[in-house]
Amino acid sequence: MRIKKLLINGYGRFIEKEINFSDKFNLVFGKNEAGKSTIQSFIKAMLFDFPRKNIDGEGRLPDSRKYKPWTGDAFGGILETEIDGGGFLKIERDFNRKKAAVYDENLRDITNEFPYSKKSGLAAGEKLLSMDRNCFENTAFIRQGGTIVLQDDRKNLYEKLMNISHTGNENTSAASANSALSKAITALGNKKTKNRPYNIALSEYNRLSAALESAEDKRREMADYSKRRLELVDEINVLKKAAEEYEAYISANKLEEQKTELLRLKGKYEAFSNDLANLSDEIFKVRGKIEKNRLPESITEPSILENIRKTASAIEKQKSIFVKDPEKNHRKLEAVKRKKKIWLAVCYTGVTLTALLGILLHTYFFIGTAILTALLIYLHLRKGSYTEEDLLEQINLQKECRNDLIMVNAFIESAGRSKSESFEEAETILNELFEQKNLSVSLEGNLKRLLERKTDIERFRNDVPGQYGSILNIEKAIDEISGKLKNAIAHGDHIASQKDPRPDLDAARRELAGVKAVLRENMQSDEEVALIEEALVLYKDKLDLIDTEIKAMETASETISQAAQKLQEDIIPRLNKQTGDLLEKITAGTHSILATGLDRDINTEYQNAIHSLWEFSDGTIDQMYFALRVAAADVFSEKESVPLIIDEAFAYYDEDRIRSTFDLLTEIAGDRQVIVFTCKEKEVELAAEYKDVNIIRL
Amino acid sequence: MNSITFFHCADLHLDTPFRNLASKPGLPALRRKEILNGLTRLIDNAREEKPDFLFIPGDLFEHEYTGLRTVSAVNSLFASIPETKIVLIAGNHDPEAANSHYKTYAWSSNVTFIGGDSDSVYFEDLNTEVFGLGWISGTGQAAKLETMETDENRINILLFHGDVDLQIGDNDYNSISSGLLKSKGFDYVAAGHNHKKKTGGNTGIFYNPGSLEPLGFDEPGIHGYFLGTISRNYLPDVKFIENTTTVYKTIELDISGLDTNQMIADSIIPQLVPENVLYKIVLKGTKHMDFSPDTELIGEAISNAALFAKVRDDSSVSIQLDEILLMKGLKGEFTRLMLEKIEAADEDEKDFFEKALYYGIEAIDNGRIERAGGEDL
Repeated sequence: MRIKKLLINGYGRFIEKEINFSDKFNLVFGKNEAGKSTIQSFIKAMLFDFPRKNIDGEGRLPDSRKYKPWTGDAFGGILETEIDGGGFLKIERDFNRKKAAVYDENLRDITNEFPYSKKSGLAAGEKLLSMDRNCFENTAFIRQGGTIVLQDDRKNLYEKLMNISHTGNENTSAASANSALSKAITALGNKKTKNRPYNIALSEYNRLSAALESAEDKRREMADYSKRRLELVDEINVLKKAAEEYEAYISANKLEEQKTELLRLKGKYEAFSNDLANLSDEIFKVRGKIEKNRLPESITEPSILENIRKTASAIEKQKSIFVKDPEKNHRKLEAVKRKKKIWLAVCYTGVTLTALLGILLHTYFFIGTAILTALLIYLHLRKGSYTEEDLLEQINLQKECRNDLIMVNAFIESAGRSKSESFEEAETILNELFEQKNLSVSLEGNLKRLLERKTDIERFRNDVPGQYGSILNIEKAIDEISGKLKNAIAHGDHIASQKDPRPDLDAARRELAGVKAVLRENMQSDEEVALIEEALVLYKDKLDLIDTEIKAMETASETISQAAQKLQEDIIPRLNKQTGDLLEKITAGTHSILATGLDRDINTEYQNAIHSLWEFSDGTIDQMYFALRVAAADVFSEKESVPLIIDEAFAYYDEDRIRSTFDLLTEIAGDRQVIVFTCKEKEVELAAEYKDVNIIRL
Repeated sequence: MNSITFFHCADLHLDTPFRNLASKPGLPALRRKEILNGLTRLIDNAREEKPDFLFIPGDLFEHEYTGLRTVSAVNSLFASIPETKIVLIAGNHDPEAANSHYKTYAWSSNVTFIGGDSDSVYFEDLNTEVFGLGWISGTGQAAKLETMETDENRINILLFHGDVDLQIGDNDYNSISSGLLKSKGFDYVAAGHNHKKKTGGNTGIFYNPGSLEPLGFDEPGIHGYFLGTISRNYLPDVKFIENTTTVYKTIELDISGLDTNQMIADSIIPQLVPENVLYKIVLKGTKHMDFSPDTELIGEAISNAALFAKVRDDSSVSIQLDEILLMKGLKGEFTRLMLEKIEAADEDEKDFFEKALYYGIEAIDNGRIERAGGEDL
């Protein structure tokens, strides 16, 4: 690949800047701060975009921020290249908008033929050169070896040489990679370390393992306790029965007494119960009678009863009048009135006759007539025992009595009886009702007494069971005692030959209480075995993970060593050969072989003898570094030739060395584009002596 | 017609450890509680429905982990539905043994355990005989089916912890043949063991409700139990009752083109709901050789978006020859060698060699390893 043209729209100090390169040897001259580094950065950014990290390993600003123009919107540009097989590519990037495009020689957009990822952007350089940015930097860019003044600088350069010769990358070494892996392995920890992730996880794992074992033991123990509880309950039931039989046997007499007492209580209870039954019958009967003699509510009112009673007395007093036929009195009254009229007529007639006879016949007739009249008046007065007034009074009295009788009858009817027509009947009924009333009052009193008695008897009866609570319990106790007595008699011989089961029963009960207490306590503090196991699993996973990571890193380390070995065998001999050839050219045949090996030393042949690199001057070492980098660019870019971009690499070269190096570069430029950046006018002068050198002044 | 009503649940695995949820403190304990809550809901329903039977054909407990507190709680629940007869058999996770809770605990009077010492229990009041094929210690009792005899005048039910018509490793799976099962005259086979629901089977009587609560990411969806009626000489009438509050869900995410942990987390979060779902996120597709997703960091980034989310990286390294050619020198040679090893590795070893590849590249590129084994170094 050859870079044909840079069109910088905006990048660092450059705005709308165009730079054209030749296919061969280019020398870019510029004083310090003229923008040489900016152009190099632009080339890398156009090919590979910016690196991902914001800050590089040494804390410097990334190019994406460092070269963003302070003024103007444009940040980007175009890089035009020619590729080895022929063909033209134009890479265009706008870093502000994060846009990139690739065009072919017909300006056809072929962007989608290039890989793209959000993280890395458009991988134009990768596709074009078959190398990533890192590799490109290590292959295409050759910088000054370093001012070799201090021992550390020599060492640094030596490391770079070693790295290139071992890995093809001056910043990469198998040793440092393996060292990084080894450090990581140690940082994770192992059995010999302390307080590392491995040790912490192992310590927790061991602690939890012990806890799990203990929890499992406890769980098993509790299961045994649970089982023992069931066994004990069964044992106790058997022992309890045996103990009861035993006790029954040995205390048969006592049981008899107990039974007698219970029977006595039962008898007393039953006697009270009989009394209560009789009383209940009696109460039932009295209630029946009360019901039967019950008078209507209104009749039981004392005032009504009193009035009725007075009426009845009045009737009693007028009985003789009342019983007479009232019509008879009327007839009598009529007769009295008639008789009165007759007598008056007779009297008037006698008086008149007497007067006539006395006048007519004799005076004696006056006397006789007067006597007769007096006699008649006397008879009239004597015979008439009922005067008209008397009769009228009687008739009125009778009327009143009738009204009273009507009232009495109304009362009788309201008491549910048939009304009476006669006074006697009314009187009888009334008497009966009063008797009924008196009976009812008497019965109520009787019932009250009976109920009070019943309550008393019930209380007496309820007091009988005493400590037993109820007659049912007494009966149950009697049955139990009877059963025990029966057993005692039936198994008497057998029980007598057995040992007393009660101590065993007590012991079993005590054990059961203990077992229950343990179970209860355990249930309250029942720690979940699973919880411990889950925590354990976490640490087990952690240990497994650490183990796997360590093994993976060990595998990586082994493979890195294998890769380094393979490089030594396959690529490094070619690298050494090419480096030797280049070295011979730039040292005018003084040094011809650069031999690197796994012994981590670099040797060169000088005056027919092998010498260590360290025996030579700094300038010579710098030349060797240059040769090695140029050779590496060749060896490690097989697919597409990479331009050789040399940045201030000859600072400590004398004129001869520069000239011989330019000789070499001119030769190399026949195969690959060479771009040398310098700030030295001398180098421009020397370069101008060569044909086909494109000198660009910034 | 003689018929009975029943509930049928299985495989509760009470007190089981949830190793795959252990990374979230408190969550495994919560899941264990949820299993007990699931049983409580079932019992609450039974208190209303009053079924004649509750069948639990094995693995009620995770024997090695079950404490007495749990056994006591379960027994209290059983005792609270005295009108329902609860019939249990042992499973392979709670086998009948001298220290089995079925044997050592004083169970409520409505609980019947059919163990190895009897083939069946006859419930005269319901004219129903319940047979049991459970596990004694490490052995399934499937072979006993041969000698079992049913009475055609009764309702015959088999409680069975195993599977039907499994051809491989029958002894391990306590497998019985559907042909033999059909010939035995059972009206209903209440099965457990397989955590996936099965209804009817080719016999029309083989029912397995699956685990009452899902126990892992291989048991997705809603779980529950059966409620049904069994009538003599008729196929059972069975309904599935959903009983789960928390479900497991696996999401596969293609991470091709996503090359930071944050980008992956950002792609996952919109797919998550914050409650009642436990997620497994499986990263699929291809990843670049210089980026290995850190499942722990991604898990942390998405942790607030879900009750639980575990990330697993099943993506593979995208291998492009161009890319390998890009890497000259040690890095290229190392990568080539590692890719050869990955290529030659068994499927379960590929992860390991990919890990080695990433560590090697990091060591070569950066000269240090920043993070390993979930630890910043």
